Amino acid sequence: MPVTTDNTLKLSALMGAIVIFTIVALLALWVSHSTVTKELSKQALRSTQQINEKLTLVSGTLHSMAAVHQASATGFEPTQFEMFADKLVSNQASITATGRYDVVLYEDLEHLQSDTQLHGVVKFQPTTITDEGIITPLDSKSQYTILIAFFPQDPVSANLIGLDFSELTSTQSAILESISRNAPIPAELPARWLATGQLNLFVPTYYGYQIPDSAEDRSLQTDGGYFITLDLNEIIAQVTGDEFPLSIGISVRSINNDTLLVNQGAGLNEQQIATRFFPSLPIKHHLRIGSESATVVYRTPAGVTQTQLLSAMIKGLIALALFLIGLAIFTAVKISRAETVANKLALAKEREQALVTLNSLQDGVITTDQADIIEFVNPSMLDVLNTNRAALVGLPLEEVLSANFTAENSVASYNDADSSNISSINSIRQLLDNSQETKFFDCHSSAIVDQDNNKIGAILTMRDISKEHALTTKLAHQATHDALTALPNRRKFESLLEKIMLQKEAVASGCFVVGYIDLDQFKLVNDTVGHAAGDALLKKLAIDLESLAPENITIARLGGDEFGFISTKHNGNQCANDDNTTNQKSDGYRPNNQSKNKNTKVATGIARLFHEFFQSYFYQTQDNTFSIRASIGLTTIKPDHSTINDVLTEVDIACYTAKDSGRNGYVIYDAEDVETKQREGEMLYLPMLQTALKNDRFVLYTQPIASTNAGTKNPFHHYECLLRLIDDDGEIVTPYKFIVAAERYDLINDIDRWVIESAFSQIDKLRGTALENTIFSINLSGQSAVDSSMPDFIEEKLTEHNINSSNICFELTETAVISNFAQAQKLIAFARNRGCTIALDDFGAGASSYGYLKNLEVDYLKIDGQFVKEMTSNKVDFEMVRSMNAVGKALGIKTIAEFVESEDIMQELASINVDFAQGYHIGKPAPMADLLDSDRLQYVA
Amino acid sequence: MLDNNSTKAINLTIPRPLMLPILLLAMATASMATTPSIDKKCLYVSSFHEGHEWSDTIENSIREKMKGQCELRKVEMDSENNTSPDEIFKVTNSIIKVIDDWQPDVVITSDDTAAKYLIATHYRDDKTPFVFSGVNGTVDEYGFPFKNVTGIIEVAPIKTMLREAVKISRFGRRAVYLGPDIALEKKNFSRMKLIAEEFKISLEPLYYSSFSQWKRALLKINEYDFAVMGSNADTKNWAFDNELETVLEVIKKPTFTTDISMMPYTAFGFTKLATEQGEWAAEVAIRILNGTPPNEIPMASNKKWEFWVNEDIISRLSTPINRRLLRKAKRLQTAALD
Repeated sequence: MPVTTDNTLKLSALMGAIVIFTIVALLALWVSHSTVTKELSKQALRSTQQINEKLTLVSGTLHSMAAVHQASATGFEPTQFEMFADKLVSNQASITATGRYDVVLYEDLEHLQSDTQLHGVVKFQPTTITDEGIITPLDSKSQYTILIAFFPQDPVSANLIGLDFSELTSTQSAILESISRNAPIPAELPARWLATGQLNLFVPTYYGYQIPDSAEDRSLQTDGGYFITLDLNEIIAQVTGDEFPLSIGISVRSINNDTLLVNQGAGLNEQQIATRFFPSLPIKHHLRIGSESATVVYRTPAGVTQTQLLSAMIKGLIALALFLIGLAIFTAVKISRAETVANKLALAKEREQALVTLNSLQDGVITTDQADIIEFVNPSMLDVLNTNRAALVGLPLEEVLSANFTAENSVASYNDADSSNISSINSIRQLLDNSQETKFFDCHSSAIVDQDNNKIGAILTMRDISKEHALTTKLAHQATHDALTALPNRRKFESLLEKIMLQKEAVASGCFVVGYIDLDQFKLVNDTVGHAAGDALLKKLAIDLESLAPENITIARLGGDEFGFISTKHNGNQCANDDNTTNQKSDGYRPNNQSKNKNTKVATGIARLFHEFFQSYFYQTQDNTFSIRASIGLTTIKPDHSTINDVLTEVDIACYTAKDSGRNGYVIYDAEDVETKQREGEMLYLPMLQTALKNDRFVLYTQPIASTNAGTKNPFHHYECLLRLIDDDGEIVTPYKFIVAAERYDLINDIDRWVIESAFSQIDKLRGTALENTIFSINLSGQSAVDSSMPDFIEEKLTEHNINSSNICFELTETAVISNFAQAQKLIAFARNRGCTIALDDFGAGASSYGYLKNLEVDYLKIDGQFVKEMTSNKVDFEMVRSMNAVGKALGIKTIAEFVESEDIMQELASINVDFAQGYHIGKPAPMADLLDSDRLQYVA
Repeated sequence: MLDNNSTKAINLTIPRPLMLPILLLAMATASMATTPSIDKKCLYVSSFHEGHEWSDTIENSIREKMKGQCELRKVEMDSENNTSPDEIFKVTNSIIKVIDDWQPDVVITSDDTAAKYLIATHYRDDKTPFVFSGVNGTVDEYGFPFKNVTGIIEVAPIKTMLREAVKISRFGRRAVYLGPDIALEKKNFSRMKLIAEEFKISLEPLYYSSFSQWKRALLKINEYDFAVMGSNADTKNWAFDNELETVLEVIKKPTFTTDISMMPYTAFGFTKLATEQGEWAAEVAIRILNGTPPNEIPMASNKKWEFWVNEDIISRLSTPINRRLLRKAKRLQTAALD
């Protein structure tokens, strides 16, 4: 069905539901409302008649009071009034109070006060009362209309005696109107009157015995009157009782109809929902109270209306529910029929599509019944098995599979925790068919289950993954083998080591040895005959090493010119290569190579095997023959090695030691060996350096460089920045202890950069001081000297700190320059072009090649301190210093002598025209921060 | 008191279409049953003239009460002007002629002249029904009741007045009666004297024939404990003048009257109501028009009276007056005298 039609149908159903609900609800409400209204109207009429009777009685009572007064020979009698009022209030619950007011002339006031007091009326003065209930005395006036009696009288109401009604607009109007009409008139009393919110009826009395006929005469002859306070709520309560179903309100308006005097009872202001729809309620009746009209209003209480509404809503909802149920049944039947037809068509279509799909699939497909008997085989599967469908259908699946495939790498997956209920199985199988090339298939077997999860069959798909399998195998090999030599790479090497370390018992035998073979001067081959020849050497060497190594030793290429080996097998307590290694001797064994146990024997045997191999190994190219030597470090895997790093660190130290001991030798790691300990000590600085870089634990010291002519007098114009490390104990560590580790583990470049950043930021702070033009020398390591990104870094920091380039001198060691002369020259050229100066440090300590010096553009030559410190007593040293100074001068380079520790040396240097001196005699290294001490700094204008 | 104009017709059960015809029918029936035909004729005979307050008040009450009951005509005997026997004879005959010619269904009279010269003299047990009103004190002298005559006797609150006079005068029992020298006043005095004796009051008459005599008579009041002022009937040229003002100012003893017209010159008044006379006469006349024979309607006397004070005169009295009594009494107002 089209979407729009479907939506239209839903909309129609919704509209229908709303209409039915509304009609039924309104009908129910109307029927309920009309029935209730008729009944309520009858009750309202009866109620009004009863209210009318009571009001008539009250009105008649008031008239009677006036008539008794009129017939009295002496007018108002307080005692008579008290008795009458007492009976009246006690017998008629709706009358809450009554009172007498007299019209009094000023000249009669005093007599009235004394006369009434004699009859029990409280002593009073003419007063008036505000809307707030505050009673205040009145000034003298010619005539008053004074309240002289009030019942029930109590201490509170007694205060009202003396109140002048003529002072109150509402009562005065009512009194005049009552005289005019000679009838009871309702009046509003002050808001704080004793009985607020109730109806007060006033009736006049007159002098004499007869009531004057004309309004004018009545006005002239009135002597006061009586009032009654009526509680309309009480009347309502008497009339209605507890079971009355309506709320009643009685309202009485003032004589000019502009003030609502009383609005007694509940519900006058209610707005009922039902009455909005069916405005037959409220019922209003008009009554006479005295000569005024009162309105009695009846309303359906909220509860009744709500009950009606609720009842109507429920009926509407029931009708709605019935409609919806009918609609739902109709729709369900309709949809069910449509779905049945559609399902059949869809099923047929899907079956056809499935067959076409299965037949056209490249993957092989087999379906089985509940007992795993083959029911269907698609053409692709027949091609794989090279058979026909008839030969397979009816056979057990497992039988066919086992006859044609071998399973491997099976992986099972389950659809729930019940392992017996296997829903699908993945596996890779190899086709057993020798006549064809090796083929692998990814087999996926899934169970077909019914609605109750019972197996009713299975489907097996087989996809030819031969190519993927080959590619995966190749990739796996590449990931673990070196591309150049096809030897296992470092990953495979470390993985193999890890596996061995898990064999704790075997490890304890001491038969497992790990080692590095680091070719000596391999760089020379690359530099001389090119990298291709170097690579060819490596490939050849790999083959030769593998040929050399016993079966139990695995050779790996770890990177560059570094190979690794690891012994991987043993035979119980008898190490695999004991026999052919333990007795071999070699002079290439560098350390304290006294084997102490079997472990060392095995290691020694292996070490000698490789060492001797290299003693006669040559690589010959077309024009050159290279003697290939190697430094070998090895260790025995021990049970106390917890990680492969523990093992490899020992190997690294041993190999480094072998290299450091003059190369072409081997070293077996010995924890007790002094040299080994030293290497280990250096390595201990590695984590400390990393922490220092991370947590800024380095500090810069400066040592002054003074002119040999100026002597040791401050100010100095040249300082060398020196690096210090603060260890965990807060002690200052000199770089001699950690610089080797820094260089070996490639941290020196980061340290140099830290030094540059730190020095520049502090030099920046000297701007405007007497040290503004001071030169600061910064040492750069060999690695930094050949770091191609170093010039950009320096440029960035110079700019960032706005450093005057002439303040900066970079010191490079002779060794650093020589290691990569071309790159070093680039750095020097950059620095000098930028305005910085260059010093060649430790000149004389290394190769001291004047040839290099000749081709280097440096500004300072720092003569190594080993020649300076004893030059006054050692003629050779003196001559060396003089010679180096002379060469520097000849090349136009200023010279700086290091290690100047006495005045004698200073004078000797001056005598041979060495330009500058540096050493403890001039000044010891001190924190650079001291230079920035504001107390010492002299600021220039 | 129920005003049934509610939004719901709460007490009507008669179908609306039938309501109007039924209502009209009911009204017509009621009219036939209770209201004499408008062609009924009623004659009112006043003993005085138009402008005589007492007589006019009675007439107004009758007219008010009998509105719509009959055609009411009025004739006057003007007894204050027709004082001689000839004059009385002539005016009486003229009224008899009216009665004979017009044949009224009932004749209503006011005051003694009409009762004496018309009813008692010419219509004893006649076919024409008479209703008298305003006859002073007693009808014995006229021989009533007749078969065709009934009415209301005018009784002044003499006992009340004399009882209060004794109290107000602090139990004084020497009193003087000032009245015009006419038969009616002498009759009134005689009746009052008998009552005074019941209270042991010594009541002496002092008659006058003119206004000036009356003013001189007033000066003698101070010689008594109190005074009773008769009417000013037949005394002409009454008006306030300076002399009267002066005389009134020197009166120190309380004065009493049963005649409302004397209140401007009297301290206390105990007066009858003319309206009561007229209303009763009218009620009786209507019953006669409706078929009740006059002799089946008993004669009545008035019950209502009023208590007045003249505060100006009281303020000059030597005797202190009980203020509670004053608070009961009607104040003499100019309007009340008009």
